[in-house]
Amino acid sequence: MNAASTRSPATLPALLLARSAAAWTRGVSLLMAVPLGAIAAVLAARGKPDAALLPAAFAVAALWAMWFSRLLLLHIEARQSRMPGLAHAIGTTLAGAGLATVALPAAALAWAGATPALASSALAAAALGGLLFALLPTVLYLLLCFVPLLLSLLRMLGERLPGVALPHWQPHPDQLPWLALVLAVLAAWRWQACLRDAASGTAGTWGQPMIAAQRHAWSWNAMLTGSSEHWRANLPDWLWPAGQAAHSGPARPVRAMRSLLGTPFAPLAGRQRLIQFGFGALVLVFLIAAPAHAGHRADIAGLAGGVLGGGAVLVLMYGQRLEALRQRRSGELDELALLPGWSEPARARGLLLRAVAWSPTLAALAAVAVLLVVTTKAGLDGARLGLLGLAVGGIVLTAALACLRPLAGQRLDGLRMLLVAGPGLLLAMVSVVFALNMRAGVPLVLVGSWLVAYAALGSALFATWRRFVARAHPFLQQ
Amino acid sequence: MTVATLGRASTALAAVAFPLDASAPISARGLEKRYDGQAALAGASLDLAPGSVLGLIGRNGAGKSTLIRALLGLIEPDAGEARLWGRPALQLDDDAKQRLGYVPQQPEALSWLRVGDMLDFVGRFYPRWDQAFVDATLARWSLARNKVLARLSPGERQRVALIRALAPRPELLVLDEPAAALDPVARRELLREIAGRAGESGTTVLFSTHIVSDLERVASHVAFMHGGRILLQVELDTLKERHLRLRVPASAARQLAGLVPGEIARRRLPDGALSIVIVRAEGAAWPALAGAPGVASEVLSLEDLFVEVAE
Repeated sequence: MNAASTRSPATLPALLLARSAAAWTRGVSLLMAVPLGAIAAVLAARGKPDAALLPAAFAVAALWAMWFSRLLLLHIEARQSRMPGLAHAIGTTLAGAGLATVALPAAALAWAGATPALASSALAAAALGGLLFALLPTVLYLLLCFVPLLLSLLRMLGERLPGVALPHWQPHPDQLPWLALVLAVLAAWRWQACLRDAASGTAGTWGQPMIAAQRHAWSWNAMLTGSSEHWRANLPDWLWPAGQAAHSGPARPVRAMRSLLGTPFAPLAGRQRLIQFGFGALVLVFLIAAPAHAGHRADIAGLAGGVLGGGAVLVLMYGQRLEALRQRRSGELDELALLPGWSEPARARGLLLRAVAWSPTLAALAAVAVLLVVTTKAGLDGARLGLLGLAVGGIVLTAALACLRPLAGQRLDGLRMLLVAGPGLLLAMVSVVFALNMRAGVPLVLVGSWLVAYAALGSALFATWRRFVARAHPFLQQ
Repeated sequence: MTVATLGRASTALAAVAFPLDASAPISARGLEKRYDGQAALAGASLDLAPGSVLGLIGRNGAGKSTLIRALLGLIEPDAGEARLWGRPALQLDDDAKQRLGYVPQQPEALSWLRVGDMLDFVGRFYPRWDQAFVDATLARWSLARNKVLARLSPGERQRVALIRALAPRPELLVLDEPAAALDPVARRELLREIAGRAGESGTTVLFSTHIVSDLERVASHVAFMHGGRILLQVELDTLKERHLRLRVPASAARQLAGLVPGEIARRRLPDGALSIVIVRAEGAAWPALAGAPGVASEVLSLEDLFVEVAE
């Protein structure tokens, strides 16, 4: 910052922009923006300026969401350190970034034949949308994950309940200037709110934008797995239940181990269980009670895909939590190793496996129940059900491998895991799409691929299991 | 001759000459551990007599934490063996675990729990859990039971970890840099607690530190660690009588071949002279070099000795 303050006014915006984000953040945003921009340029050069708008908008949004939004942190620091003139310079920098990423590309697209108003408003909306996305309270990111499922359920509800008419919105290019205007107002409001919150210190971790709450990095992984103390400590219980140690102890060793393993393995308190399982039960009851409806295979596919996609996320979440335990010194593994109650290694291994398996098993059973209901209602034939079963089995085996590797002292993100689990999860997605959308019979190549995947997963599981049982005790760190 | 060479020689001798002490609360021989090709432990050996307070002193990165973790069976050494009360550290039974208290350098376990919930939970595993001590100490240190552990300051976390380690009334207390995150007042309280436990209950204590004054305040024994090895383990009271720093002038240094008996550290001074630190066994005579013409000898303070060994 001192260096920045001594530069000439002309170079200051560029310097601020460069200093606002770490090199890897700038690199990642450019890695996303440059290819998209190149695609847009090619499309525009080939006389398809309107088609070029979409990749160009995504490129601009990536830059603003990941990189330029971090100017907010400089603005907060400028206010806190009372640096004269810096706030004004940040405004100038934002304006310059807008000129470079909105005005100039829009002019180029207009020159290539796009409607000037459409190009400028689309890119402005993309930039402002990216900025606003980065400035949202962190808690909204979690809620946004549920939006597709909620919209899908809402649509099904609206179509099936008599007398209910949901408003229908058809996007139109003419709406883009208004959208840009609304986004501008919202982004400006969030920017000011973030400055106020930072000054007063009133916003909790989840009320701040992620860039302000955890300044050094975008850490979705830490947030999901609970490997970051900061995030975990500030999670509201109702949203993401903390591990509960009540009724846990040597008399109930599996429950005690689950308490020690933490979220997502930890036992839930009654209120937490009510919220989590209540929501799932509502969905299930709705699906069972809703009358069969012809022509809604897309809905069913969406739900089934969502369930299996959620399963894949769970694989990552459970595995990452155990990986975090494996890596963390002075953490829960030390407690597990030194607490009396399960000193005999074979017994400790058995208890640990049961503790680890409890939550994923419940989640898998719930997912299978939802799948059974939706596929039965969709009237899938045996072959397609079998294909879905193969996909579920593949995800279960991948989850088992993801959990067992850290327990055996192996890296979760090792090359072997990537080679085995990556294609497996991809195959699961392809199988779901195929089973629910294609009219043709199940191709043998898909079944054959599953046989290979099962063999690879089984082999990897066996090797990891041997390492696990060969350890002096199951709570060793590397 | 480098310190590394000296260390290897002394380690090999120790491993051969002194077998594992089955009665000692802690006994380790020839512990080795490598991370990414770097030796964190390079043949460390250590003995801890019942009732003693051993201060393990070494620079950052000397291998103190790794040694402690190997001693407690939290990591598996590449070579060597550690035993607690005669049992292999990697196969501790419930009885041994109930007699053991451990405070890690940066306690992070169960950080999502409230202070009271964590202590209640852990307390269920220990038959001799001292709930009165927990309540009194929480009140004395102004630690709220309903505060989430992750929201405590590092110093407060350290204090909670200390309460958690002391409440089972351990016979062996192992503390890894326990004072690192504490302010001077809290540090004094911690040292008083350690000294009290050792004096009144006969608790055996092993604590690592790089703060020499802490060590002088409570330790009965001291072990110098450097480069993954224990270079010297000695009773603190007799340390001054058992070590010397010799300054061997350049002319004599050129004729000096091999190790001086009891040598634990050697470095060459800018003028070509040698600075050699030697330690003699209890009751043993100083080596002849100490009385040689031109060789100056001096007794070092603990801090100077630490710097000399660790440099």
